[in-house]
Amino acid sequence: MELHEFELIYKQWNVSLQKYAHYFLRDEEASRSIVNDLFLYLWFSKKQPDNCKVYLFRAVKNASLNYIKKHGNVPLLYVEDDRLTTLSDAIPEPGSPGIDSEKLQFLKRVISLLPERRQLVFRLHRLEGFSYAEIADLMHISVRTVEDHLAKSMQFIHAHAKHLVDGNLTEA
Amino acid sequence: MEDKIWTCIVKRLSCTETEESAAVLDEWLKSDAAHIEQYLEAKNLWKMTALIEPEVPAEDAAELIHNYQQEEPTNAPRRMSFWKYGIAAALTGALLLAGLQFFRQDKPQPVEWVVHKTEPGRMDTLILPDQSTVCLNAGTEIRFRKNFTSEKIRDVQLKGEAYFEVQHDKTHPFVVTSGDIKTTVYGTSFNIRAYPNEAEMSVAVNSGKVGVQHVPSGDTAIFLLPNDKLSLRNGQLVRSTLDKADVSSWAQGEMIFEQMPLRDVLATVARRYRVEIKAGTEDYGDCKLTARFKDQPLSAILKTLNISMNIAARQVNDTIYLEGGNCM
Repeated sequence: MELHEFELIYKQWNVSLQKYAHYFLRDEEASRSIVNDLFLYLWFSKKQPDNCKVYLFRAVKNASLNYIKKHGNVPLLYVEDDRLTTLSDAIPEPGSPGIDSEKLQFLKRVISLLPERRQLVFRLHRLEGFSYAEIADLMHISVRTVEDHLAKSMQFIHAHAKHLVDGNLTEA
Repeated sequence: MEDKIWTCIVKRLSCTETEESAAVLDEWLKSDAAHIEQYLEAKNLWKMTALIEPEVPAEDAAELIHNYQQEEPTNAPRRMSFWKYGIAAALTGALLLAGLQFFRQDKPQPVEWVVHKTEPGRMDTLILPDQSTVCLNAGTEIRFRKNFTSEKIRDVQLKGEAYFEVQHDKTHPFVVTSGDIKTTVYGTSFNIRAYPNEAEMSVAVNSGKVGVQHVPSGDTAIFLLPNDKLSLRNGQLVRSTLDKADVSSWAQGEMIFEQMPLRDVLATVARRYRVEIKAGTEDYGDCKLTARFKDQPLSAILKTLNISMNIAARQVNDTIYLEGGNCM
């Protein structure tokens, strides 16, 4: 593939893949390494996978699990810190509200305050377009747990961001 | 209680709702006007999340490649061994899982299509590469080109029923081909129903402006506005108006039949409830049904058929046997 095509794929998925790797590795440096190495491999081997997204996520999953096997001491299951960060981080700058990209920025910040595992489930579904079953497979959790995380995500997002859609309620 | 409601809300928003969850949600919505407001807020927020752009990494791909190539030879073995344990093994694993062809020759690739299908009884939401969302009804197949976002036209093929929310881009028309109907938009929301074996195909608009062409009749497009519906029946195009809520009511669990040939009604019901319907020697060709079913169990529908058309039904596991009938 051409560099500009590769650039698009890289920009689109690099950060998501890092967050996904981090879910297994709990180590930002290792996550970044694994994901970048994957992209370098993809570039130099000139591979053209049928479905880039699925390929990339699967490869990161396998690489992460291999890394854990090799380095041994990273816990796969851990107690999730369910306490949510305070919202003060996400308060938008004072000024004219109602500009769409500002609203989206605020929404992004709210999402980033979700606990890691929950946030990953939400991102994989809403941003990457994976189905519940695919997410369950990627994260080694049950479909029920995926549903639960999504429900709690929306509950949180609604509680903190509903003012963004106030006065703008159309059935559309 | 809160938790359960939010689970039902998300199920509705992601088109994965069940009869059960729909019933619980509708009960809750009915109990207080404030609940409806809450639901609409949630729905709007859900849609907004589809617009979020991915975060961009600090360095771009060109830099990454360049930096790698600059590295001292002594570093290379370390990298390679990392690859050896990490990526290469991972990719072999990925290969076994995906069954992919490993090496492709460097020759021009034929354009490939991505296909997505839903099972009977299931609905699904898909996010297209341009961030448009498509909600697929049961028994539906959708196809789009692999390089969707880099083509001049955002090209989609549909067999079945889907509700589209298309990202606005006036330089790249979004075109859906479904049988003889071609629908073109630049950024709107609309519903297309085009099951291959049904007598009628239709396009209904929720928002924005939609252009529809009946390909065999030539290239002139008919423009539809919100709440307009265009139906193709026996080669004839008929225009009508809908209530906004009816544009994609199937996604909320409602089935609306308006003078629909019974054969097609039965096919819809079979898909929705995941049963097989056998009509024996009866040919329900001339029977037409006008009815609305919201969150009804299959038995209620069969009862309606019995009362209105004298059709007797008998259920054995997942098959319904129909007998009799004297419809007008």
